[in-house]
Amino acid sequence: MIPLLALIGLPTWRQGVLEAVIISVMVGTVFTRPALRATFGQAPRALLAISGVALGIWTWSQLHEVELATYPFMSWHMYGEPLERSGVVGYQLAGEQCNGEIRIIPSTGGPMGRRPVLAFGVRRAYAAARSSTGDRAQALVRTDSLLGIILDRWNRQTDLPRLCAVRLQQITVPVHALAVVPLPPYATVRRYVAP
Amino acid sequence: MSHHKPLTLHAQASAESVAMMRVGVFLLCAAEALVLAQQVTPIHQDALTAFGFLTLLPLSVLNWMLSASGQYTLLTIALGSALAAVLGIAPRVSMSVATLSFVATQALPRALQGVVNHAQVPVMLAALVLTVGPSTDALVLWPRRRTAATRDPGAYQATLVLIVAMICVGYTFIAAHRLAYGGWALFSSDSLEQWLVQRNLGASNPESTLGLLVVRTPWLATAAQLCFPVLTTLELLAPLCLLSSRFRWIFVPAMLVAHVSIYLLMHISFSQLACLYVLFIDSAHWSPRRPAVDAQGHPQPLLVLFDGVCGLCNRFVDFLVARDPGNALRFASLQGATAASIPNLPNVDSVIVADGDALRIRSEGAMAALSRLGGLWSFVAVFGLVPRPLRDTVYAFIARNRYRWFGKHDACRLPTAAEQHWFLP
Repeated sequence: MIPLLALIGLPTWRQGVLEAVIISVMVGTVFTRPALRATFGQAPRALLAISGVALGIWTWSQLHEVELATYPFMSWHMYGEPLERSGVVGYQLAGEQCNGEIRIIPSTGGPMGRRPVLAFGVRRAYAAARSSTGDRAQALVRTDSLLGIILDRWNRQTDLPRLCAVRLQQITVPVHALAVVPLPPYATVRRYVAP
Repeated sequence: MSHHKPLTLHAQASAESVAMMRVGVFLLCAAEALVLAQQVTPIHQDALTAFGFLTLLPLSVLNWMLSASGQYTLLTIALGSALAAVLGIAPRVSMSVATLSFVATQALPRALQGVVNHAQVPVMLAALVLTVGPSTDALVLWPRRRTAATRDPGAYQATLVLIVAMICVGYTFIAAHRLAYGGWALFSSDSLEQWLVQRNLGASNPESTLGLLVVRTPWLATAAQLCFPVLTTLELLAPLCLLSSRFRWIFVPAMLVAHVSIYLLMHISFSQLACLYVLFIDSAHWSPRRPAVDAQGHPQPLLVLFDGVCGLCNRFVDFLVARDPGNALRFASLQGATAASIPNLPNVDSVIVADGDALRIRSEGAMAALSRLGGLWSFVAVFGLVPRPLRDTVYAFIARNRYRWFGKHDACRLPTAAEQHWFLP
């Protein structure tokens, strides 16, 4: 049983099977109702075919925890597993002006754009570089590339003071003291200097 | 022969309902392309996490897409094709190009952070369904020729219900994963508090964020912890929205509150998904209804009964006659023989609209007549989302003052020779 499920790509097979059962029961109960079947029966065949294929890829992706490979039909597993960590880790970006002054770079707005894409990208790349799996060296190169993009975008804005370096700063909040202890200071974990 | 109760959600969906949804979804795509245009930046390959279709592209194509000119070109195609889809210009082609370019333009900036925004996925899926669905035969704003609506009106209901189904399945996926992988440990642990802290650490002043406030206020933290399994249960049961209007009345407000709370506490925006929530409201409330049909299945025109001596009512009728695409409307004065022959006519003295056997009065009647004109006028039906007492209060205020403001004729309006086609005695 276990090798068979592993063979079809369900390494966390107990959870995978349970998830499949929950989805099948809920979706199956509703979608097999005569009223709904009759309604879908009126849809054009091309629509049904494409929707069926899309739902198939999406379900496969969900059960195999595929986050990106089947984009835009990805797994939806956000905030789904309990955390067992020694501390909550957060990041911020800080810019070093050429006179040595430090200023915080907000995640959004101005050179960072309307969405925190670059800020999140740096955090995730650095977290990947610290993780025990994957190509850590490549993740570190990626971190520096993204810091370089941020520095370049900032310095293109003529109304902002020129930066000579960008820092990625980290904070670790102890889990047992989330509700009481003031936040500790940020520490610089990566620094990118303008070439 | 089966005797099941037919699905009531979007049972009255018309070609215009699907076309209005097309306009809404592709406007969202266009807006997204505009926002992304402010984030264009040349990307080095070593900063990118290639995923999905990006991994299938030849290196030269990917490199071009990563350049600023490549991104601007892609965004221009996305914006242009989305607007063409909105306007109904070559809808099949423009919708396909818009959907593909929307998926592509979403992928590029997300590839920088190695993750995608799940709230935008339902919009992509809706665009996909609409691209394949029967939505090309209405609301073409500048038609070269007006094509006939699909013969099978059930196809319009099926299209809208399919989009709702996909949104609901997404919610069920989230809940199923949470129950299977997290289980009770997830709801009883301090994971939620950790996420709240983590999501707010990047803020310029984390101590002043609502997320930290909740974590540091015991009763708020307990309330948030209690809401977590309730939210998961609602997500799990989301597909019931397809079958039960009562459940929709619970689900939609609860999820909207949940999404607003998640935005305030964790800065995760679901605005695009929230726009699609209009599909959880029956299309009869926000789009023109399907025309009533006679015994032979032919669409029946709406009969507009109006106060023949009222200046405003007569101007309204002139307006409708001038814009009637052909066989959509008929008119008769409330003082005439046709009105007298209709049993149980409500005591409304301005405008009543007879749609088959159904009588629509006050704001409902005026909206039904205007939205039946088709084209942009279909969007008048969106005011159906405004609570009826509010709409009727405005209507009644104007109706009370109509003689004073717009005058009163001594006799009923007589149609000209060219207008005879529209008027009943």
